[in-house]
Amino acid sequence: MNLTLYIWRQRDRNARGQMVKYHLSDVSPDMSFLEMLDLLNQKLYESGEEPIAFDHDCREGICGMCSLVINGQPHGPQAATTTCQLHMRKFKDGDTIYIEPFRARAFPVIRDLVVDRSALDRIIQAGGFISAPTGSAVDANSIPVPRDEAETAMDAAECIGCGACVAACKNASAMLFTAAKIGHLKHLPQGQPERRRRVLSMVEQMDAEGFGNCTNYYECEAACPKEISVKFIAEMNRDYLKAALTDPNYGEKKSSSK
Amino acid sequence: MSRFVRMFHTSIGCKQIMAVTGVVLVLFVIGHLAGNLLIYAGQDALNQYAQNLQSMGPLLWLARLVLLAAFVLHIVAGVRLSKLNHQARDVRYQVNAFSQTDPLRKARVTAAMYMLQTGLVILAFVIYHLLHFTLGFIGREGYQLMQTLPDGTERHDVYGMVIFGFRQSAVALSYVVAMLFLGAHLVHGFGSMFQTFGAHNPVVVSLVKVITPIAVAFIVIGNCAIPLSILLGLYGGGGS
Amino acid sequence: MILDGKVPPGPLEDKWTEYRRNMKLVSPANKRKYRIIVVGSGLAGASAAATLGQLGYNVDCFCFQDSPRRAHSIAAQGGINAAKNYQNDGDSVYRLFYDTIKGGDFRAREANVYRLAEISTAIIDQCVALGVPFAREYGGLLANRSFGGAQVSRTFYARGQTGQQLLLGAYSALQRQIAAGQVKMHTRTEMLDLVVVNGQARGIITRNLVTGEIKRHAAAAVILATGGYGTVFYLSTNAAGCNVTAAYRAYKRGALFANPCFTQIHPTCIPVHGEHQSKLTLMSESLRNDGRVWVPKKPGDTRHPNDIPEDERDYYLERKYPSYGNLSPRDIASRAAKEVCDEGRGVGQLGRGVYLDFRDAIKRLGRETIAARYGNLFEMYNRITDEDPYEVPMRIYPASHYTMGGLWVDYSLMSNVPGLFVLGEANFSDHGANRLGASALMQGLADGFFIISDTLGNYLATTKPDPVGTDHAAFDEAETEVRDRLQKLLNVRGKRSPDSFHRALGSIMWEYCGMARNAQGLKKALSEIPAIREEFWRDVRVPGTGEEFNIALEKAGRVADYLEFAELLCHDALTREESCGGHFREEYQDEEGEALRDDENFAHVAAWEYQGVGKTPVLHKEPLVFENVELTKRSYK
Repeated sequence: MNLTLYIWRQRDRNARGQMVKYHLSDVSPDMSFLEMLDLLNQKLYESGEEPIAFDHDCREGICGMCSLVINGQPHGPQAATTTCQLHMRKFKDGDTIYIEPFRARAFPVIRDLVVDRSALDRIIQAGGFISAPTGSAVDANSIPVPRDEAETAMDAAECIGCGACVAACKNASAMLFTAAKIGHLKHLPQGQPERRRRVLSMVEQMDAEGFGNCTNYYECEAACPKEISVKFIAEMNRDYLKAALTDPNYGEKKSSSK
Repeated sequence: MSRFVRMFHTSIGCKQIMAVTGVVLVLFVIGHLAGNLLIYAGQDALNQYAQNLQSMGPLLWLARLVLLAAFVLHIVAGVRLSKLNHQARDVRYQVNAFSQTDPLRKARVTAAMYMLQTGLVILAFVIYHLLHFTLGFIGREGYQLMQTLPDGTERHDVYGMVIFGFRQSAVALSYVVAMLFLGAHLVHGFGSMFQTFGAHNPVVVSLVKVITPIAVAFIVIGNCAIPLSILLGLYGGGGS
Repeated sequence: MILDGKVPPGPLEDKWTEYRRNMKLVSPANKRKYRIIVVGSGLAGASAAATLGQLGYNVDCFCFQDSPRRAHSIAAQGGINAAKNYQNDGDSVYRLFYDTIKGGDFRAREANVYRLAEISTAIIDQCVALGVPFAREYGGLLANRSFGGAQVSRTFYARGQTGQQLLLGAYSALQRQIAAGQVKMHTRTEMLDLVVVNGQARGIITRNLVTGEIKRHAAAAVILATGGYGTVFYLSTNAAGCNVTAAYRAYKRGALFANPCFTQIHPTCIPVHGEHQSKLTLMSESLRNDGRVWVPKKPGDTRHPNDIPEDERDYYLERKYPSYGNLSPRDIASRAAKEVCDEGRGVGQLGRGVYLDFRDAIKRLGRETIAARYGNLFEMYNRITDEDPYEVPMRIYPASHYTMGGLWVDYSLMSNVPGLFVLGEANFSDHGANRLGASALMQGLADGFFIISDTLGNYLATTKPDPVGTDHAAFDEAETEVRDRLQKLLNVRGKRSPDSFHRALGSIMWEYCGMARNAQGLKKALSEIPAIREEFWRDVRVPGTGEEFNIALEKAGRVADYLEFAELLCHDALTREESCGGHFREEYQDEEGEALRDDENFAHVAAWEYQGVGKTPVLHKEPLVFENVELTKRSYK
C-alpha cells in the first residue's frame, strides 16, 4: 500500500506545531497502525530525520498508552479498538491519513503526537479509590456482592484511562473517564462509605483540570475502545446531585474550581 | 444557599441548574401554548383567558419572577458552560469527524453543537415578543385594540392584536422561524435534561426517544399554526 | 562464594511467622525520617509504594510510562492464584506451595515459595477491599476457575482482564498515598543508574524523559520492581517499553543476577506475520481446552487447512502425550511446536505456526457454546489476523512471555547489595525454572503488599542508615557515568536505528537461546552478540539532543544494555548443563525427547557477578535444599 500522511509535528510544549506531509510506500495491510508509524520512523532514521514521537506500550489494547486521532477519530475508524489494535487493512491503497494528537487544554502536547495525560491521574487522586490500608481487609467472601452489581462494576472498571473520551468530546470533557471510576466503585459495597465524598471531590478536580463538561453528545461512548456506557455519566450526575444536596459540609468551603 | 453557589461553580451542578431552569421554561412554553390555542375557541375565550391572567395580581408577578429567574439562570449557566467548553479545547483539530452512525443521534449532536446559538436566537425572539405582544412597544396599533363587552366595559383585545400582528407576513414568519429554533433547542435540551438528572435506565431512554419528538412537534407545530393559519387567511376572518 | 539465602530456621510453615516474630520495627517517628525509592509501578512497585507510604515512609516512586497505571502487569489475562479453598476441593497452602515448586521444576527456594502460598489468601482479601471487581457467583461469593498445572480450582479472575483490575487496585491505593503526600510520583522518568555508598544502595540517577534532566535521588533504601527482560528476544508478549536497564544497572553496580536463562515461552501466541512486526499477542491458554493442535503430515503442504483431509493431519500433541494431549504444559507444548516447524511442516506465510482447530469442538458443542467460551478471544484474533477462527483454524506459535530469572535476593527480598530490594518479576525468587499460570500476579502483590513492609523495616531498624546527601562522591561518579554514556550514544551519529539492532539481537537470541538451546548454538550466539554490540557503537543513529523528549535516545540506551545482558543470558544457558522448566538443552533429553534435569550438579541458583563488558562473569552458587518435597520428574504422558 502507498499512503499520504499528514502528521502533527511539534518540538515541545511551547513550540508551534504544524501538519507535515509524508509519503510512505510498502505498507503491508497486515501491519498494525503503530507498525506503520514504526516503518515511517525507520525511513526517517535512514534519511537522517528525527523520528515521530508517539505514545505506545503494550500494543495489545489494554495499557491505554496509545493515543492518536486518526482522520478526526480518536483511535481511528474501527469501533471498540485502540490505535495499537487497528490494522492497515482498514485503509485503502492511496489513502490520505491525518494523524493528530489528542487535543484538550488539559492534555498539553509534549512532543509531536505525545500528550500529557497526568490530569487523569489527579482526578483519581481526588477520590478514585477505596481507603483500605494494607492489612486491614476482612475475608474476601465476608461481604457477598450480587453478581449483577459486580458485573456492572466491572463494565465500568474496564476503562483503560486512554483519554479517547476527552479527545472525542467536542468540549474535551473527561466525564466518561470520571464516571467510569465513580461507577465502578459505587456498585460495590466496599465503595459505599466514601461514595458522597468521592463524587463531589472528583467532579471538582475534573473541573479544576480544565476539562469541559458534558453536553450529552455521546461521542465519548462511540470513541471508547472499551465501550463504556454513558449511563455511567447519568449515574454520576445523579450521585453528584444527591451528594451536593445532602452532604452536610458541602457549600461550607468555597469552591476551588474556577 | 452556599451549597447552590458551590454547585453552580461545578460543571455538573451548573448543568443541573440549567436543567432545572430548563424544565421550568419548557413547562411555561407548554402552558403558554395551551393558553394561546384558545384563539381557536374564538375572541371571547382568548380575551377572557388573558383577563383572568391579568387579574391574578401578585400571583402573576410571582410567576413572572420565577420565570425571569429561571430564564436568567438558564442563560447565565449556559453561557458560562459554553465558555468553559470552548476553553477546554484550545487547539482545534484539523480534521473533524463524527463517530456516531445512528442518524437520530447525529441529528441530536448537530442540535447540541448549536445550543448556544439557538438559545441566543430564542433570547432575541423573547425580547421581541415581549416588546410586541406584552408591552406593546412594537406594533402599537394592534396592542391598542380593545374589545367592548356587552355590559359596556372594555378589555384588552388580545385576539384582535394577534390577528392584526400575524396578518403582517414579516411578523408571522419571524415567529415561525423563531419556533423552529426553539424546536432545535428542545430536540437536544429535552432529552439531555434526563441524562443530566441521571435518569438513564432503559425505560427512561426509550420513553425519552418517543416523547422527545412528540413534545417538540407539539410545541413547534402548535406555535407555528397560529401565525401561519392567520397569515394564510385560514383563520381570523380572512383578509381585511 | 556460597550464597546464603538467610532463610529463617524452623519448620517450613513457621518460617515467615518466625521471621516476623524476630524482626525489628521502625517507630512511626523514625519512619518519617526515611526516604525510600521505589522504581517501577506495576503490581509489585505500586503495592509496595502504597503500603510503605501508608506506614509513614517518604516514598519516591518512578515509572517510565506517563502514568503508573500503564505498567505491563496490566496485560495479564487469566487470573491470580490463592489457596483460599473456597471450592472445598482439597486446596491448601501446602498444595499451592507444592504445585508451584513442582511447576518450577524444583529450581526455587522452598521457603520463599511457601511464604508466597501462605500470603496468597491475604492478597485476595486486600484486593476485594480495594474494590477489585472479581467474578462472582449468583450467591454473591467469589468465583474460581482452574488453571494449568493444578488439580484444584483456585484461580480468581475478573473477565479476561485480571491483571488490569489488580493493577488498578494497587494503582488506586498508590494514588491515595500520592494525594496524602506520602508518595511522590515521578512519571516519564527512567532510572539510569544505581548509587552505592559504602557498600549500601543509597540512591539512583534518573533521566526525565520529557525534559532530559538528569537528577540524583538519595534514599535510605532502593526498591526495584522493574519487571522482566522478555524483550531481549525483541518479539515477545511484553510491552514495547519493557526493558532490563534498571536491573542491569544494578547488576553492573555489584548486584548478582540469578538464573537469567530461565525464560518462559508461551505456546499460544499469534504467529509472526512480517518483518515489521513489533509485538506478539498472547491468546489465552484456555483455548487449548477445546482446540486441537495439528500440522500437515507432509512438509511444505500449502493447501488450505480446510482442504487437508483428516488422515493427512498430524495431531502431534495428542500423538506424543496421549494423556495430557492438547493440554500439555507450556514448555512442552512450545517445544513440540518448534519441532514440527523445524521439520518444515509449519503453516502460515513464514512457516512458523501450527493450527489450533475448533472444527471438532464446534461440531460437538455447537457454535454458540464455543462463542460463549471464547467469543472475545476469537474476535481479538480476527482483529489482528483478519481470519475467522469459526471457519478457518487459528494459527499459533510460541513467544517469549515471562522471565523467571532476575536479580538475586535473599529471603527478605534484599539483593547482595545491602539496601537494594528487588520485587516481582525483577527478582528470581519464586518460580524456579518455570512459572505456572496465574502465579505472577500473586507474586507481585505478595512482595509489594505484604513482604517488603516487614523486611524493609527490619533492615532499616537493624542497620540504621545515616542520611546521605546527593553531594556524596558516589553520586558525582554515577551521574558523570550516566551523562557520558548518553553523550556517547548521541555522538555515534551512525546510520542505523536503535530498533534495527534490537531486532538483530532478538533474532539471534530467539534462534540460539529460545525454546531449545545447545552448546554449539549458544557459543555461536556468544560470538555474534559482541559483533552486533560493536556495530551498534559504531553505527547507531540517535538524532536530536539529550535535553529534550528523545525516543531514539531512550530506546538506544535500553538496546545498549540488552546487547550486554544477552551475553550474560547465553552464558548462563551454556553453563547450566541440564534441561529444566523453560531451559531446554537439546543435549540433555531422554530417548523420547523429554527434559533431563540434573539434580546432582545443578540443584542450585546460578548468581552471576559482573566483571566488565565482554568479560566472563563470576558464578556464585546458592545450593537449593529441599527438605519438604521430593524431587520427581515431571511427566505429562
